[in-house]
Amino acid sequence: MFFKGASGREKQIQAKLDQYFDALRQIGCRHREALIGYLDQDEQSFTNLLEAINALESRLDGIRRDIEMEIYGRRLLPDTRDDVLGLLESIDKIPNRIQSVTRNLQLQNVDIPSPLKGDLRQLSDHIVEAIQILIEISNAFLSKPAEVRDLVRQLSRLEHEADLVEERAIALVFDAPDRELAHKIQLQGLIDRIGSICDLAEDVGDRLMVASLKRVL
Amino acid sequence: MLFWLAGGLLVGWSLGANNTANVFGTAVASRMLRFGTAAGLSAIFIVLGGVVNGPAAMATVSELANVDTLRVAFTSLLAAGLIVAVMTRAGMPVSISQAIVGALIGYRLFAHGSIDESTWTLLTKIILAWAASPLLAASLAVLMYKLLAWTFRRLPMPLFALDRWLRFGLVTAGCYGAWALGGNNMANVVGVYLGLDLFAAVSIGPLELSEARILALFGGAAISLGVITYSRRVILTVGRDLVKLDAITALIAVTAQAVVVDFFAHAWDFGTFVFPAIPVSTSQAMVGAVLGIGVVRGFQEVNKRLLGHIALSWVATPFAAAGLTYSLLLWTRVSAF
Repeated sequence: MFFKGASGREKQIQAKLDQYFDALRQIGCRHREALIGYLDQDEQSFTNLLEAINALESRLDGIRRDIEMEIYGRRLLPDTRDDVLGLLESIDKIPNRIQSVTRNLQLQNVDIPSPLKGDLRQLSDHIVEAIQILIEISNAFLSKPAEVRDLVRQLSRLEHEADLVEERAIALVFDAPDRELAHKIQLQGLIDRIGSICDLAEDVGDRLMVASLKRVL
Repeated sequence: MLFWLAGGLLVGWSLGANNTANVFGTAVASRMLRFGTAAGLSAIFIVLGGVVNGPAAMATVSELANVDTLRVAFTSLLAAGLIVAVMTRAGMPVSISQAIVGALIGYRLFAHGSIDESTWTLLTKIILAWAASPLLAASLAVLMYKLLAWTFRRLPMPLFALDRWLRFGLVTAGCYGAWALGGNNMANVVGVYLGLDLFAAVSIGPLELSEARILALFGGAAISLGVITYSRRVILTVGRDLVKLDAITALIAVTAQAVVVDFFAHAWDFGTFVFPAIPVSTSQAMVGAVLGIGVVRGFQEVNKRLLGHIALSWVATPFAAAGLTYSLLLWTRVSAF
């Protein structure tokens, strides 16, 4: 054959991508469970879930490297190679951010006031949902590029809702005259970092939409 | 005799070195295809195209040339080759076909002092073909683009499947482009020698190789040598620019230019109007196809500098080749070479 076009290797890459998306979905869920454990002051559960997040992050790195090796080893067109590597590179920021947010909770031992807990739970729900939509966008990007645009719109709406929750939570943090400024700033930082996970998902979605437009002639 | 054939063989080498980039540039520069494989496929399909389809355009060049001696044939080809080399060096998108035709007109003017009516008629058709080839390639590219866009909207293709089809398409289009190049441009390499009765027809079993086909084999060898020895550099410079167009655009452009070049490799009889096979420029057809896709994609900015260079080379190449041939022939006569 003039070029290596075996569909077996394509299936191998697709299988690895499926593994990657599955681990991504799991890390989003573990993050929500870890946050709930932290809010409920269930230290043991939080520690176990943080370990699970660390393990999933390492696993995601490993799968990403495997896919990159497969991609570089194949005679793919530059556009295809760039599209798949770009997808992985941008999506990989999400598990990294989830890991750092969860680890910071433990390191800073943030004292979270009760009125704030509902909004944080809601934010973590939005993160799980955003990751789910992002996985659908990625699959559409790989197989049905025409569907990417609608899914990206769906993700943008979700990110907007997350922004509203984030703003409400920050307003609540500062609407407490007897709370120390340092504590307020610490809580604001935490809310910003959790909210930024949805922002990252939206950024990846936008990037995939631009890349998919190239393929819709 | 080999010395006198060397003029054509030099043109063949130059053709192989410069034009392979138009058919396999994207595939090689994107490392989709090894250079060795691309060079091998180019050489095979250029020779095949030249031997099978080459005689038609060779007959046109031979009719235009009507040279009577090997010395004249050699001088015309040498002048054309020199003009191509100088203009390439100056960074102009030069057409070997235009240089050859210009050189032969120079010879006609030298030998007869003027151009007779039948030659004018042929020359008009040749100029028409040169003007039509980029326009046809552009129109065809637009049509193919629209057709592909329509198909993709109805049959969305997964990324890896699309990649596989595009790679297959680029190799197939490259082979077809090489076939078309051989069939059309072989006339530039050896067409001048046709009619000088250099070779007698040879029968190999049921196959009979005419003089034109034997000449095409010689020309094919020279082109292949150009492909193998020098095209890699050209591919890596020209091909990288083509890669920027993306694979779909490259596939459409290569196919469109190949169809047009192949079209002009054949003589067409439209009843009252007979159009002979005419050697055209693959590079100009390629530029036409790329511009066509650019327009349909809505790129407003056309590189005016590039268009200016093409227009200038269009006028300058045949005139310069004609002038140089005339001067060289005058010099050889004066010095009794």
